[in-house]
Amino acid sequence: MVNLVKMDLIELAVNGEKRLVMARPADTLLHVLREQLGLTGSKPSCKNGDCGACTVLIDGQPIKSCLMLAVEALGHEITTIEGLKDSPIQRAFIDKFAFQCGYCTSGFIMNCHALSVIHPDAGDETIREWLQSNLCRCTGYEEITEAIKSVLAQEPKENNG
Amino acid sequence: MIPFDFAYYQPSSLAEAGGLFAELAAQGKEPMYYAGGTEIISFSRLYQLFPRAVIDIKKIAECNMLEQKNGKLVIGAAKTLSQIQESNVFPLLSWCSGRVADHTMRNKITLGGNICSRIPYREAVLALLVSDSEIIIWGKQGLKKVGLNQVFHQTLLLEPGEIVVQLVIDQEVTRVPFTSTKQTMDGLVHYPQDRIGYPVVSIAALKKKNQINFAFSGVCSFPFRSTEVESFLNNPSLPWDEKIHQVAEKLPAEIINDMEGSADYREFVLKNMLSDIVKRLEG
Repeated sequence: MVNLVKMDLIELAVNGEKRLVMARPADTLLHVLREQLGLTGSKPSCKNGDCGACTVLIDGQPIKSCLMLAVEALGHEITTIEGLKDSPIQRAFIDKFAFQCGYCTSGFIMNCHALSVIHPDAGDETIREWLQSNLCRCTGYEEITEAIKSVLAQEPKENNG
Repeated sequence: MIPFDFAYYQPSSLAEAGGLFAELAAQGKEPMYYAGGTEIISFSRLYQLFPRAVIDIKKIAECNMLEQKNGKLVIGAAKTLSQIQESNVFPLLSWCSGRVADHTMRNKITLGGNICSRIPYREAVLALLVSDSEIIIWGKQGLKKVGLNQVFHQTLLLEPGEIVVQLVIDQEVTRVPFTSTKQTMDGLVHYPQDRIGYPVVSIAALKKKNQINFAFSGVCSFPFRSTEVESFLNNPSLPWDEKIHQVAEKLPAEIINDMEGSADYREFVLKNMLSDIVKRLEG
């Protein structure tokens, strides 16, 4: 049984490394990533699960880190934007000019990266459903959609559901 | 950031979780069971909840089941809405679950959490109400299985310390004709990818033995399936147009009147949606 009754050291698996952090049980994963580990690529914005700027991957699934406790991530593999290196979706965001101010970009990239891995054959409906999890107030949605589609186009297709 | 401290416990059995709850409650810690935790975190951040301890049920095996056996579909309370939607073992539940929040949030929100939520809409529960699902609850006396419609009245009626363990659905019901539709401020939602938003009106309907079961969200300040509404709508001696025209008189509470939709507008949408549903299920 995992118990964390007060601030204590916990070991998180972040971007392929074991990292010790001093966390309160009530600390969100977003807070610990930024304030303890200096991984500021995950952005705080609404802190309410609405905007997706803080999206990270937990065992490959996109999760809004503002609504996950750090202690919940024990035993799971956390991937932040800092853990992606030269991924196809990062290159596609550059090629398609899929950002303006850039604040939402890391969250979008994490979500799009997960989509391309989990559903390499995703069709328009699936892309639309996934992208609704993130907000871009510069409204660069068309370019972001083009970026994910360009990555998916490189993937072998089984069906276009 | 949550501006106060609480203790976190992650038991691996129902007995352990229940024992912890009793112990922590006796210490005045006001414990809460925690599954997806999205609502506990967001409400705590806003000072609208003050648990001094949370008990995470995600590692309890019974709460994580998703299986079909002996003609029943069993879904653990800690299963996420995404897991349920993707498994598609009960299409109506997939539809209703798939319209809650957004895709990434559904990777965290659990079925048990949605049923027990403080938010008025709780759309996943609609599919469970119309399908006459049963709910398995763990309490001081051990496990009990009851009809969800018996214990869900505006909210799920739980005794202190009780844990929602599983939902059980008759597999026959997962194969009968159904339909479900939702309208938000921005328009009509037929599929999860259409639009995100709280419902102006959301209805799940299922046709079983020549009767249509209806459950509603967004109409009153709680999701409901009403015997009075359902008996009235299924009364064969009145034409559908007339029943739908009068349906507002049978509702269990006042229609919500807020910035997402006035009461008059919600009633208008409710009647139109009922007409569409009846056309789809009655031909």
